[in-house]
Amino acid sequence: MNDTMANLTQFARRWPYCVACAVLTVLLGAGAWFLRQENHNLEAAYRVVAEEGEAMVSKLFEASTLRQELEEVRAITERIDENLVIESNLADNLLYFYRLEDQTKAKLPELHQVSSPTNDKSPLFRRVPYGLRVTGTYEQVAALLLALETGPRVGKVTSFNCARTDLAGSAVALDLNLELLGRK
Amino acid sequence: MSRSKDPIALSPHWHVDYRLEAELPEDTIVGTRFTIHLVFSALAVAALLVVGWLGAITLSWKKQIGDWERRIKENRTEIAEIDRLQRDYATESAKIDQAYALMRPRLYVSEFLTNVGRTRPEQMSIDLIDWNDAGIVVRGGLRERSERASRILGGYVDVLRKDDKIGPLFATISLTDIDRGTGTEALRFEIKFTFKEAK
Repeated sequence: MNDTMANLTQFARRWPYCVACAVLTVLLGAGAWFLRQENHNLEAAYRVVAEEGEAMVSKLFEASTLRQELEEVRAITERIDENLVIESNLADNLLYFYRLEDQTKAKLPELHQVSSPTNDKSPLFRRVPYGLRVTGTYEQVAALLLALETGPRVGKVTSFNCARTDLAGSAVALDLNLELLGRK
Repeated sequence: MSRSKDPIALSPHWHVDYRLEAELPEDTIVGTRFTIHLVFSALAVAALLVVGWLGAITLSWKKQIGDWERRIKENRTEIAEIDRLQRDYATESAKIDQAYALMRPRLYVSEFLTNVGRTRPEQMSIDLIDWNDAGIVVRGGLRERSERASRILGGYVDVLRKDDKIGPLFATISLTDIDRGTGTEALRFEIKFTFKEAK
């Protein structure tokens, strides 16, 4: 052991510059290994933070569109909410149809509100069904039908029967079943 | 031959070489010691360069991570606001989806009547349109001779099938009845529209 140390000391005395360079190289090699590990970890950390950052930038870019779309969606839901049928408010519900009757000059000899189906799964809305008979000229009946389908109250026709009542003229009768969107 | 011209003759300065070459200093242009120092120096410099390069990469990663973290921190409030807007949007759009699920029309009747009227041949009159579970039935009459009326009706059904506002709504559109009747000039007909399966 002493011999080895003595030999090493002798070698170091004979080649001091080479020994210093070798020691420096070994130390730098260890440093390089450590930095390589560190870079590997930093790269992984960078990927995570960059992904989060890019998602953030993307969100920031879409923010104005989101605000605009939210305003539009809110306007639609407000319009739906304002025009929801309240099933128990029969007079007001029928008044909606009579107003359309006035506007289109068609006649509504029959108009009935029917009980809502109980199998609707929506927690917010219910369907309120109506049965009605509309008479008048084709133009008047078509105008009332269009008003019902495109009017402020959301609704859908579930079945209809349209027949000419006057074979010589243009009088028609429309039997219509429709559902309006109501509040639950 | 003269002595001075003899090529193998000994010169007058000849003497025995007593040098101990092992103990003499090197006299080569590039010495071994220098070469060994050069190799060790090169290794040390190369290691230094590698460490420097790796260190620069480390600093670069740290700077980039720091930049992203700073930007994320700066925009944290705005991102929280956008997240809140997204939740509101999801809530509001869910309301519309529910309303649409309940009120999605299978057919806009006013549009259907308009399109039937638009495509109707001039000689044709429609007396009844009935929508029930089986589909839509259109009944009417055609004031033409039977042969020509049949051709017109066949052509009309083809027009309905090819019409881009009527055709796509139905699985089949077919002429289901033609009746010459008795005592009337008009030929009676029935066209049936069968809906596609609801998705």
